[in-house]
Amino acid sequence: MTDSAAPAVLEVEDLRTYIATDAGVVRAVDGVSFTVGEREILGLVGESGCGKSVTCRTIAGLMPSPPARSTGSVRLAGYGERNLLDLSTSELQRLRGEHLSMVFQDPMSALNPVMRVGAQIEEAVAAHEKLSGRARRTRAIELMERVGIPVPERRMRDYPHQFSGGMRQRVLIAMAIAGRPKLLLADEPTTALDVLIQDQILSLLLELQRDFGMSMILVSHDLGVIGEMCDRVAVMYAGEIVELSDTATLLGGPRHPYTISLLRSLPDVTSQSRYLRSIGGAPPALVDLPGGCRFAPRCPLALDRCREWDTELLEAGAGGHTARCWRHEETRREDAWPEPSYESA
Amino acid sequence: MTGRFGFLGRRVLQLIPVVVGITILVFFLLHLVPGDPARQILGQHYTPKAAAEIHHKLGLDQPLWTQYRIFMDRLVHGELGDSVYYNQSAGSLIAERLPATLLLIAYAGVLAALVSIPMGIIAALRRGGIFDQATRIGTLITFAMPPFWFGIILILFFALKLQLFPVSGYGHGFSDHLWHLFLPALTIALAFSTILTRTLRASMLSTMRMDFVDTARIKGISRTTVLMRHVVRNAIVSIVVVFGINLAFLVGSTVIVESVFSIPGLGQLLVAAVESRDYPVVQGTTLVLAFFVVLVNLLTDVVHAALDPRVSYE
Ligand SMILES: Nc1ncnc2c1ncn2[C@@H]1O[C@H](COP(=O)(O)OP(=O)(O)OP(=O)(O)O)[C@@H](O)[C@H]1O
Ligand SMILES: [Mg+2]
Repeated sequence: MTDSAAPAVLEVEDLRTYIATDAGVVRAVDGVSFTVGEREILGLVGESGCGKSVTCRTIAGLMPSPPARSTGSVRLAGYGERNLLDLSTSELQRLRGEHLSMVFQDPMSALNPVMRVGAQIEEAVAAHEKLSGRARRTRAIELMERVGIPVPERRMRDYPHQFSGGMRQRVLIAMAIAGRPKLLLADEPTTALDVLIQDQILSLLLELQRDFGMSMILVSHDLGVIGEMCDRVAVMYAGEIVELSDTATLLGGPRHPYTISLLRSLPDVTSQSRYLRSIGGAPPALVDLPGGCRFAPRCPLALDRCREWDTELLEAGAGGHTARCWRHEETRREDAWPEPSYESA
Repeated sequence: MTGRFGFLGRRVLQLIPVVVGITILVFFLLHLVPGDPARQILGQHYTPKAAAEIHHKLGLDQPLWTQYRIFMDRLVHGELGDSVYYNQSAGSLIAERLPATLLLIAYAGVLAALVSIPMGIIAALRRGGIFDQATRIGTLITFAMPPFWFGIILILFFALKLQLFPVSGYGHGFSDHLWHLFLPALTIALAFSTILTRTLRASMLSTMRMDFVDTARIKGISRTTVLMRHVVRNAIVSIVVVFGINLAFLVGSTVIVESVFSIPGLGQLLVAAVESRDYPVVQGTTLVLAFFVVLVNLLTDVVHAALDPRVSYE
């Protein structure tokens, strides 16, 4: 799929991650393909539990196996033609930090509570470079300055519990960029923070992405954030990508009923909250998926054929806009939608 | 750092009522004995004159409050009264016996740590594997068996059959002590290490699921570094508390194990003193053992605070 102008840094092809649980096999990621271009930010949106985190964690080789098993291919520019899913532990170790890194959702729990913050950053600095203690310290201080932590010389000696949530996220970002990775996976980096801090962290990420020329996957629930930050967006539903396009097209002319419902469920843009309100009904359990279109049970436009249709991403517009809906031509017509009953459900 | 000192200071202050409580309890030990302690001590040699002498010696002819005051007054001067049975002060008797018990407990603690730290780590890493199952079964067995039974098995096998270690006694000189105390310490350590192994395993497993472990992995550092610096280091923190509580608890098992292996320690002294109704010695020994438990608890808190920076701020 060459839907992006820039050469791809990351190519994910038919990625599947199935997790064995007591309740059955969870198909957390089920046939996901996308690319991330050079210096591009790809947004990943979707309801809770649709597989966004598992997608990122699979790319980073962080899924526990067993119980998780992944198939498909993940290729990273500058890492040969190797499928990242086939890498050994020591190969993964070399990949991480230098080629890709990740920032996690909850800065409260993502730092080692019994280790000084400076030591944790120095550990990231020294992961791929033999440095003297002093050089390591200097680099760590530079990084802390770079991510906007005041008085780094002093803060280095503090423990994570002495930092605020926003400052901890800055520490995590400092560690993530320590090896100057080509690709940064940011899994809801601001969800746990309050709104003012969110904006600061997002600006920082954007600034670092530009300065370092990084590519990025940004997972978010927040379509406002996606709109501001991302070049392209992939919408996920029940382990699949249901719509993929550049940000302006996706927000301005969405084709998949799920994307449309997501946008319609947004409160007025002028109101303060930019968060998704839920659409009627709940996503299917990933152990027991319905045949046909997975969104059909909740879709106001669903027809009998939708439940049988062997879904695939169909071309829905220029510039690689694809949607997993065979009625994507009709979805934009207002008269295709039933009277606004989506309010009540 | 002031936070930590403040924490320590608070802990020590909290101990004052505990220590006073212990002295009151120990003092009343003498009065809990039904009937006249003099009658218990003298048995068939009872005469009113002898009883009066004992009353005077134990201070029982004084009002209760005066008795406690005298008891405390002596105590702060390090006197525990004279043994009724031996021609010696209770304090010097205890001082003679204390080192063996302390060495036994420390030895058992070290052996238990040496056994259970690697076992807990391996059991967690090879979860569900043969080793994990083996430690699970081992735990059940050692939990179900009383420690003296283990001691006897060890004596039968290592001392009598293989003749690797002495059957009993304490020996002379430090290395000889270590050799003599190996089987008794192992007896205690085995029971102790099963709890430690299981706790460490559980603690390792829950730590491995924590977010900061992923943060460490994504840095690109080696798996061993992630394991030791992040997982084990955090899992150990919770073990320290369990270790401390159980170490204090071990005082109980030393009483039995010292008897099984004839070690001249406090436990053995206590048993003998109870049998011969040697009240000052019973009081003194109980007091020393209780203080030991308090001290171990305090030390546990200190070590915990040193290992976990969050403690001092709670
Ligand atoms: N280690 C695991 N074991 C079992 N199931 C898992 C595991 N990790 C994720 N899952 C399941 O996989 C599915 C996808 O989870 P994932 O964390 O990727 O969702 P998400 O899109 O990131 O949601 P959120 O927005 O809440 O973070 C969920 O149903 C989840 O329960
Ligand atoms: Mg998630």
